[in-house]
Amino acid sequence: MTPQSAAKILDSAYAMRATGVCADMVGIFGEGFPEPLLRATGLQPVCMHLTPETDDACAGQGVSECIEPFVDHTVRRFLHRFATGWYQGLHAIIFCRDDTAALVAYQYVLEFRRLGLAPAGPRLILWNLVHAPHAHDFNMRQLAKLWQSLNTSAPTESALASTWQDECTRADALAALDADIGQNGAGISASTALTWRIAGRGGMDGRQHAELIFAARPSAPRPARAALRFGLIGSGVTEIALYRTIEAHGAIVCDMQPMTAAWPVPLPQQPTADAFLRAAASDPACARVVPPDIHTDTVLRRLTDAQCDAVICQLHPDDDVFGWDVPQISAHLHKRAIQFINLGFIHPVLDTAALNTISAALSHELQQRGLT
Amino acid sequence: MSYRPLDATKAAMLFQREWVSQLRKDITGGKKFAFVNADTPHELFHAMGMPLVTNQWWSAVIAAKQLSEHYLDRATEMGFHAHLPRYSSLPLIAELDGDPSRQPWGGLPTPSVLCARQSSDEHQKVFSLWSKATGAPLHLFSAPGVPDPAPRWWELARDKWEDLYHSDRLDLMVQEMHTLIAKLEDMTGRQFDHDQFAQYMHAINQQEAIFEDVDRMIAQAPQAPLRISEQIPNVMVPQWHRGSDWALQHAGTFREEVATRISDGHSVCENERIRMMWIGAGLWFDTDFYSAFEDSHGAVFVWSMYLPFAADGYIRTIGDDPLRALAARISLMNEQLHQPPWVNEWLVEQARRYRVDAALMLVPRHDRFSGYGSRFARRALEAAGIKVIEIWSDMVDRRDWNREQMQAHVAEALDAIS
Repeated sequence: MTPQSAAKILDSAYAMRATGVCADMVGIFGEGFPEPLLRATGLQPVCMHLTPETDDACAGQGVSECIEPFVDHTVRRFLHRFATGWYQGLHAIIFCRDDTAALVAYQYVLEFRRLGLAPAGPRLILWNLVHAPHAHDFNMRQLAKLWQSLNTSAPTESALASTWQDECTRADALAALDADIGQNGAGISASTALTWRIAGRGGMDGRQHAELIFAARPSAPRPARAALRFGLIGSGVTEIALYRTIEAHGAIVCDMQPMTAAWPVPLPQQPTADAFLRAAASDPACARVVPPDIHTDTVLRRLTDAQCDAVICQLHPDDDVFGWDVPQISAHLHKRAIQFINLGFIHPVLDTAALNTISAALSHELQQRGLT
Repeated sequence: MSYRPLDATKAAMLFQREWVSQLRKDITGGKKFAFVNADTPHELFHAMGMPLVTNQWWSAVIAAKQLSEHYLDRATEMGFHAHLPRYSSLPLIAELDGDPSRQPWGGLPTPSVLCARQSSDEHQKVFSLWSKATGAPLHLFSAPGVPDPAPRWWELARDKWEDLYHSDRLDLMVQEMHTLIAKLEDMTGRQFDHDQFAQYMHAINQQEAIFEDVDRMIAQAPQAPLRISEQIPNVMVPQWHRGSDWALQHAGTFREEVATRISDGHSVCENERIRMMWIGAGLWFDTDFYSAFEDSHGAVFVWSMYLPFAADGYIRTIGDDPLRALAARISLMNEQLHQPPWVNEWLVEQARRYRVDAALMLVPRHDRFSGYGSRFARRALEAAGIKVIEIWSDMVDRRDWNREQMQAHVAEALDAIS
């Protein structure tokens, strides 16, 4: 495989992510699910909340009328698709309780079904992983319930060990991408890294994903060394166009937005179900992790270590979580002479005009701070 | 005939004000207190003799004193964006503002312990900031979801709560309660008394049963005997002190006074033509709004969630494990009031019981946990023949509230009914 052909496969997987469904696929809505456990049973996890914006479904007025305007864009899109039977072929859909949007999505699809507004179809499963060390017994019970709900057996030790190996390879590849973007000018851009990361979420197994990334890396255009090193934080971004807009002003060397930071969940040292759950339950990328400081402290440490010139924050208009961290992040950065640029509310779907506005705002902020 | 408030209302308000005043004195003298969210097991603090202040109650008091505008503007100055939830964070902002003299009744002293449940995502963030600001330790209760929500939950919640709320969830909550109890034992130097706690839980059930009587009486009365602005303090002040001698005594007094009103044929509005329910938390900065349509439309609010929830949300068969019964009370407390299918089915049942014609539904755009499920509720109520009027506002933020405009909006909808 040439670097160019590997890159092409990854780009294509990014563009097509989770648009096809089949009977051994299990949809995963939300962040925080330890996917290797599922892979080890032979089922294929596919991400439900990153599907492309194209080909949107509209389930009609009955469904629209039940969705408040402040429901997340990803949830709204998913609900319409669900109600039009988009996901009929899936084995099941798992919703991660500790992902805000996913809990709402679960409650609404259940209700649509109960009210006859959505068809019967795949099993709907609430994944109740509690992100706290004391909840391990509870979490193990959830795993037992999961196998029951999926009508499958728990993975064998050998299958789990093999999947763990594959996932370790994926983790190495993604770590290499992170290291690449940290090397301003010598590595690849954060937009490419995000594209290739998300490419793996449409059902690609760990080894294949890793091989593609390692194969494609030499093909990636090495951006010229940018004058400025940026950190990126805030709401989840899947719009590569937003990255490119930011990259026109500098290099994103520390990408802490959830679509990068929250997948895949951390791997354990040992390939046991017990260890997988412990690792997932202590994931600092989860905003609901206990104690709550773990989440914020991790963001602060990584931004500081990355030696950013400026940290760019962007938030969805319906953010009700990350905004609580903004003043302390801003203060922390200020103490270290790192500029904090808050772009404010940015809609998850952006057209050219919106991107131009963002670019102008960023340019203005950089000028104001003497960073141009 | 002009409306005459209940004596019980004045007594409840006075009690709570004096309680806060005494609390301040006690704390100055070295007593500890807890600052907690509404959907946490207050019972454990009460049982350990540690007074508590409820976040949402204090938020409502700040709003009622017309201080929310100042604090929410300050929140923006502090760097918190304008779309964050306000109801659960207003007291935090007041704390961070650092000027207790501006707060109602001279503000709150620094708490000794903080407690929240992770029902809504902002709770751990808000309480974590509070903990950092004050140094008070934070105890968090987890909030795993219920995978198979029963629409008619209130029919199962009293006796069949083990199945309704699921054993694994209850086990976890009881485990977390034991951790809190151990912390409280350390802080107070007292031992948790399980026998006494069982008696205390029975006293709470007794109190809620009194409220259930009142609920039934008001629902069945020919006309509304009192305003919801009076129902709320008469239920919620005792609820913050639930199971105490005062709370039980007050609940009884309230029941007697309501019974007298009904037997005397007293009504809020003699020309009652439209019976309304107020859906959502209170409109704390403008509670007069509840009576704004009595003269013009003969429209009276007969229902708010606080009174009927006292029975459905609190009464739990105790059996031989009072802590587990408490977990059954708390483990889905907030969710049942706001999320589908619990809220929509419950509201339809309540509307039927109270013979409601119209529902005013508070939809707080930036308090999404409380706002989710509003449209399902609307759909269900409309299917039951009830007119639904959405009020897009916030429980504590009056900055976007235009009373005249909102009154006109509601009046127009009521015109179509009367």
